[in-house]
Amino acid sequence: MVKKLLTLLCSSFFFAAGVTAQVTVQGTVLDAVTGEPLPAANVVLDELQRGAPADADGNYEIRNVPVGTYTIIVTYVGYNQYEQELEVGNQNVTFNISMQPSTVGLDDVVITAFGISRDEKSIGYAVQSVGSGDITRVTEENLVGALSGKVAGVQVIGNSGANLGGSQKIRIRGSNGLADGQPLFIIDGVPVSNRSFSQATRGRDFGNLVSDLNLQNVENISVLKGAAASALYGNRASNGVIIITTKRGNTSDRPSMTVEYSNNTQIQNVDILPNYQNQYAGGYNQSFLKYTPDGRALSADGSTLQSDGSAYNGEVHNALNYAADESWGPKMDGTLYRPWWSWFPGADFDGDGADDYGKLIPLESNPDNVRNFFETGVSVSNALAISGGNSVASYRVSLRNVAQSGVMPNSELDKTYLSFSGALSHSDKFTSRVSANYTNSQTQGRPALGYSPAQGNPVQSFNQWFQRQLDIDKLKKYNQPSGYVSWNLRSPTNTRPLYWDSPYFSTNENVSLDDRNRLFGKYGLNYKVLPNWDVTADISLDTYDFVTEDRIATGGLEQDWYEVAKRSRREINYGVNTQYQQDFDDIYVQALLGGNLRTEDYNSVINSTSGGLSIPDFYNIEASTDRPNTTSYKEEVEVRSLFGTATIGYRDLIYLDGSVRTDWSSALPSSDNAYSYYGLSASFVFTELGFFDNQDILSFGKLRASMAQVGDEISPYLISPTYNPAANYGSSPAQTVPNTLANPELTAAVSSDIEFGTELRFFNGDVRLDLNYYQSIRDNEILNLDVPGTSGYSAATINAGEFETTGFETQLGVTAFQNKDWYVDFNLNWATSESVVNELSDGLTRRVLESAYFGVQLVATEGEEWGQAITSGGYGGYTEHENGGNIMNTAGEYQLTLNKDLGTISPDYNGGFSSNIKYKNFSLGFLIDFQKGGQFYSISKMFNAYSGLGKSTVGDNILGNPLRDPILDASGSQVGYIALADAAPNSGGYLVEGVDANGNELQVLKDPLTHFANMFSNKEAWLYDASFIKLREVNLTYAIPSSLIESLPISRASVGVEIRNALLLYSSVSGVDPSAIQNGATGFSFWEGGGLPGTRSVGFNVNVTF
Amino acid sequence: MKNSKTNIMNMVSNKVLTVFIAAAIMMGSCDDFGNINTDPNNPSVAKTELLFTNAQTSVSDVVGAFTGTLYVQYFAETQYNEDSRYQTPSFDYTGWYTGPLKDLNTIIDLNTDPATAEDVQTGGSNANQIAAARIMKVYFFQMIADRWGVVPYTEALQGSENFRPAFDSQETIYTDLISELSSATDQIGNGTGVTGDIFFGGDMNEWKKFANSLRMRLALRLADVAPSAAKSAFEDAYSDGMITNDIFYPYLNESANQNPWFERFITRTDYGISATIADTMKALQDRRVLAFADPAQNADNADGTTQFNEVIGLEYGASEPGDIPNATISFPGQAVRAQDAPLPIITLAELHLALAEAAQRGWSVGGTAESHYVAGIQASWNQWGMTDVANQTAYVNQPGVSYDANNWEALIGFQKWVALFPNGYEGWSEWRRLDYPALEVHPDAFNSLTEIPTSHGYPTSAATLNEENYNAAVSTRGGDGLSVKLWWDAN
Repeated sequence: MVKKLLTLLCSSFFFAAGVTAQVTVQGTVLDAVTGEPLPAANVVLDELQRGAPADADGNYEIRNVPVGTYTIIVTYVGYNQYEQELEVGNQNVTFNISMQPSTVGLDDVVITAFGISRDEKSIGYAVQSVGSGDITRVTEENLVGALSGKVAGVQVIGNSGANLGGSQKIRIRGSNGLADGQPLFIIDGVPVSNRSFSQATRGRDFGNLVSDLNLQNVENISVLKGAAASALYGNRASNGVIIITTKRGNTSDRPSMTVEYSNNTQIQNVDILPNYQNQYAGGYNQSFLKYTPDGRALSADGSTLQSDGSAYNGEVHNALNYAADESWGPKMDGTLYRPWWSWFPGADFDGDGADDYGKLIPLESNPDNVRNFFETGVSVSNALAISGGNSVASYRVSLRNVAQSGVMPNSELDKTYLSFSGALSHSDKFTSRVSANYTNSQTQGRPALGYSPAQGNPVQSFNQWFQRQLDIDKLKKYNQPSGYVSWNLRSPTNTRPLYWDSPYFSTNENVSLDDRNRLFGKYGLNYKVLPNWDVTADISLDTYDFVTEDRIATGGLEQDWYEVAKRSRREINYGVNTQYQQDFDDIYVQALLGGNLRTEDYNSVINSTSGGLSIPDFYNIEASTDRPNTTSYKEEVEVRSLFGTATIGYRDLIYLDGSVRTDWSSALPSSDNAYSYYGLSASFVFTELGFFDNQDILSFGKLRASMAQVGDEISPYLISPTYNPAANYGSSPAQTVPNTLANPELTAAVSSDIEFGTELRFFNGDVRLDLNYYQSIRDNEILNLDVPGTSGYSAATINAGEFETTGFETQLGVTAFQNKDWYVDFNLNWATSESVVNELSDGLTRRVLESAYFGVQLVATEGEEWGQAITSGGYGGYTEHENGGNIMNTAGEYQLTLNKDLGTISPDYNGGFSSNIKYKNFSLGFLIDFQKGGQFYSISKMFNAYSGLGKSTVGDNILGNPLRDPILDASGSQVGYIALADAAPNSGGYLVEGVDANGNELQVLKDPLTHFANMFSNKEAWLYDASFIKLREVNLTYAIPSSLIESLPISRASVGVEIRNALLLYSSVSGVDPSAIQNGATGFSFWEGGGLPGTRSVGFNVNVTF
Repeated sequence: MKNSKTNIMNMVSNKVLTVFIAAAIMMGSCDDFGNINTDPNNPSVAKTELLFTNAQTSVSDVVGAFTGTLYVQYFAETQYNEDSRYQTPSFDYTGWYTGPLKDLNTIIDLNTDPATAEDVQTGGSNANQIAAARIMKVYFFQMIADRWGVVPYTEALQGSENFRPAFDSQETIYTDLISELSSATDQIGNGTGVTGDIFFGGDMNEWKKFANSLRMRLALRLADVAPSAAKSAFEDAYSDGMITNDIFYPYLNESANQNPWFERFITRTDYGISATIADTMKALQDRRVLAFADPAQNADNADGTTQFNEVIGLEYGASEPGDIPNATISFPGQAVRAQDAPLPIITLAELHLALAEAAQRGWSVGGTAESHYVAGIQASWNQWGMTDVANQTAYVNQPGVSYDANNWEALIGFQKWVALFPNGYEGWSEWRRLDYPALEVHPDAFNSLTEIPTSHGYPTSAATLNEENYNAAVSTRGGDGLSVKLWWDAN
């Protein structure tokens, strides 16, 4: 290939040499931020009225230029117009041009439905584009995560980076109805699945599928937020559409080829961990347990044997209560004691070659034990892309591999992306386009999440149930000749773990594996009937097969187990459409008519062993001791659609747009399976009016309005009652009536949007302001509505509810400074929305959206804002006195108000602030995203206190005494609690404050163990403000000057440093990152518990173009 | 030129038209999808015998539940004692309605509806299926009524006909349950017995006896609040013939159908035998405790049998049970928690003790209170494999056990408490009714409870989804939560 390159270079030298007689201006047009070439950028020497388009490599050449001074003007879609004085003497001039992307420029083109590029000014609804520079500012594998903070009104619900390849979730314009649906993703015209394979609240998270897209291939992303924009995508577009356009080769009269190589190497480390205490060891009280050296239990003073009460005079060893998975134990003050690992005869844990049985060590703290468990993750990405074209064909091939090791021990991910896209003009009339993308993703050791997954979740243990003194290195040696060992011994003589395996056992032995093949692509044939009329027929495919394996190893706490699941899906779309476009003098007309047939097939077979493995460590369904659990599932859906759209424009002043669509869905009752919806929008470019001619402040102004509907997707098999198989009793099969009542009369839901907006550009686009207001009403959504179980069903599938979201979005862009060396640009996205449940179902006023563990639910209540957290299941919140204060008794126990409404979880607003700053060859980009308001329930914080692991459970109390010290009354006697006023000056105890039933202030010193155990029932105490400001992305790139690489067969090169999740700048809660609290992908993300810590990654980039 | 362009236009138009026609043909008629939407994953027809099996397996969740066993202090919790301290005030009953009750109701419907009655006769004759389903329904409804008191009954299980069923008083429910059992028993005919029956293998005579025995249990519960109705129902049921063998839930040596106590002890050790019951039984040389409990590790002489001095109960009200090492306490015995150890549903011991009480109350049940009392104790010993008559006799004849008509409530109450072990809910009901033995509330009770719970609180969903009826129920019942005295819990 290098040879070929050299040949190419030589020939161009030769070519250049042949024209020395004439002065030529040549150079390369590049994106100033990414350094990517800009093919087809138009370069003009203004005074000569002559110019040339750049080729696929961004090279341009203008020949026969007379000596003189010219203004060189470069224009390119999506970039600010470039103007520069240029002096031309009698030597050839090489002049390279860097174009600044205009995130929202004057003459932007946006990609709308069916890949139609349209001038942004002609669009009557909100579309926001994100360019490749913003997408790949830092390397990220998940498209959803890459959108965070970049689009107004888009909320990304993130996941910890420690959750290798885990699911991320997106909400466009607030809560997506009562069902929290996800937007539709379209990659180069192919609708692709973004299904998430995450267990609901605990277990493994196998990620969301749009992560199969190689983000380095992305040219542009358009986010269609409302119904007007998305109506043409039909019944899956009701939660918005995200349209991704990938990079392509370009046809060019001069055959060309570009080879790009890039490397990205990242190192990743755990960032935020809870604030642990480092003063008290494991146990339930501060006394050591006493044992004989061989592990027989002694009385508290060590004088008698517990087993028979006989006197004992031998050596007494201090021990901890290893069975306790809490840390209320003895002070870590250096007292000699028997660590857990001193009770295994013949085992060597400290590596000195000697048997550690009977070893006594000082009881000391290990403040970094948890942090040391995590490893430094390393990710290496290598990418190669070759693109080119000639006059009739163009292509781009890219290959990329990412090999990553996670911060959780033994977690690894390996991903390979292979893409091809090409276009071929068969004749003047016929053009074919093809794209094919193959992704293989293989992962090992995805961490188990949530509360007590059977596979073991070390993070849950560390943050909720642990002993603070534990030395993490010793736990690494869990595999001893006697078997697997753990710190959580039942007793010195019964060393079987009680609740917890060694955390390393969980990560190294209970290993998940998964392997996914993904293929998506499209073939389209376009026939140009007339220059302005064409017909396109295409077929697109998205398919995957996904095998996941999970296991619980033989020899640990839990029964050994193996599961293998195979899931596969295929979606094929067949489409035909015809487009007509005509620009008359004052009138612009565009129309499209089309039809689509979509078929979806999904299959899964999930098998797992039951009753343990018959052969130890044989991970195979064959090894199931009992009848294995097995389910097979199949789903088939077909949707047929007809649609049309038409646009009429008058001058550049007014555009009117209309669309209509009808879908026939196989999932609806056959008697009534069609539904239709429409969209109307208008755009009015008022700056085209003569009134604005003679001013240079407002360069562009547009008002727009739209109203539209979009139909909702419906799942198959909801309409016919069935009797579901149930677990066998021995060899007797069983069947059960499902808990959800089917509804043979379902109709498709249609949501309606109204939207108003304006786009303003000041000072030739240096200041850009978009404002947008919308109201969206979802009517008669198809819901699994909870009904009182006493009816025999716990839920009914019905059309119900009216759900209204109103919101306001704004984007502000400022190019603060721009000259030959400098470019400083800022962008702000800000959005607020409020969703109100106007109506539920007849007689039902409340719907449970999700139940978190331990008594907090998320509900939608008629007449109120969507998404209130309430306490449930007999748990409560504070009872406030009318004069303020929380009512409690003299024992320091708060009076609980059951079923308490704790307010909405929705944020007040959120957004992102980003900047691109360039100085000469350096460019700096950063993104800050933020959220104000919203709440989440922290189970980690709750148990962190409950178990005495957290910093809040230690320290000095108001009297200046350690709060874990005994509580003493005035006479010095130990009590369980006491009024502060009656306490001895040297009393310990945690200060609990409130008021009595009459509103009088109460201050009580209370035993912290009891207090935090009681607070388990008070859920209000564990609800936190979810506001945050986060410096999410920072990137610094240095483009190597062409003078340095002239002698190499390299046309461009750059190096860079990037940081992802650089800094949590603000958060009202410590020890938890509110921006990464997701528990799996199925929920509403309003609680965390047993989640992984956030990570920070630092990466290094090298990009070379040949 | 103009002319030729038109020709091209026409030609092209025809081509386009052809493409569209082809597309339309490809798509077929737009609204006909054939059988695509027929669910391949779940059958659209029911086999009633399979529904019946499924409903019966839910009995395990009644007889194997732990909550009641803590209230009556059969067991005490080791490290995490929140349940012993009555932390949870509300319990969810909806699973019983959506689970077994809905399945049983569907069996009745399918056997009643002329359109399906014939098709479902693989499950037994229509009449027998309906009868057995009704009996099982009574079993579940009694458990629900005994825990929550006022619950939806007459309007329950009607699906979309009534998504917000009203609640019925415990009196209404009990009255109807008793009459349901009578008429269900009468409905049992000579047709084919029910299939899919994991309790009686379709033996309809057994079903009759089971129904009569349940009727005795129901009737006795009303002894204090509706004595005459209780008397006649009890006498009637007894004369119709009670069970002749103990009825157990049959667990299997497989993880899907294993004893729930076995399951609880696979990885954890949360429940020790309570000192409340262990110490009392040891003091009376009650050998049943040797089956109830395993030796404590520290006290075990490792001879493979359990001795009285090896059984060490866990103090129910211990303030910090996590400090009590596992090695020093006894866990449930293998008779209780082997993987396939059966758990009692209703036993001869319970019924004989019921007969003793009936006789004591002057109901005509034949025999004396004492004779039934002794028979009940012996049946219980036999049930636990303690068949040595000399030991039984010695036990029965000692003070504190031997029958005394003047102290019948304490004696029968105590014996019933032991005999119902480890059926926590039934033990709790009888303890609430008889008020014996005297049990102390946990000293660290949550929510300032000063008495052992006497009811279960309603699930949150009752308040949120069926608010009006819930409010009415709470006022009928006299409050939500754990401390309401239910209707039959008088005196």
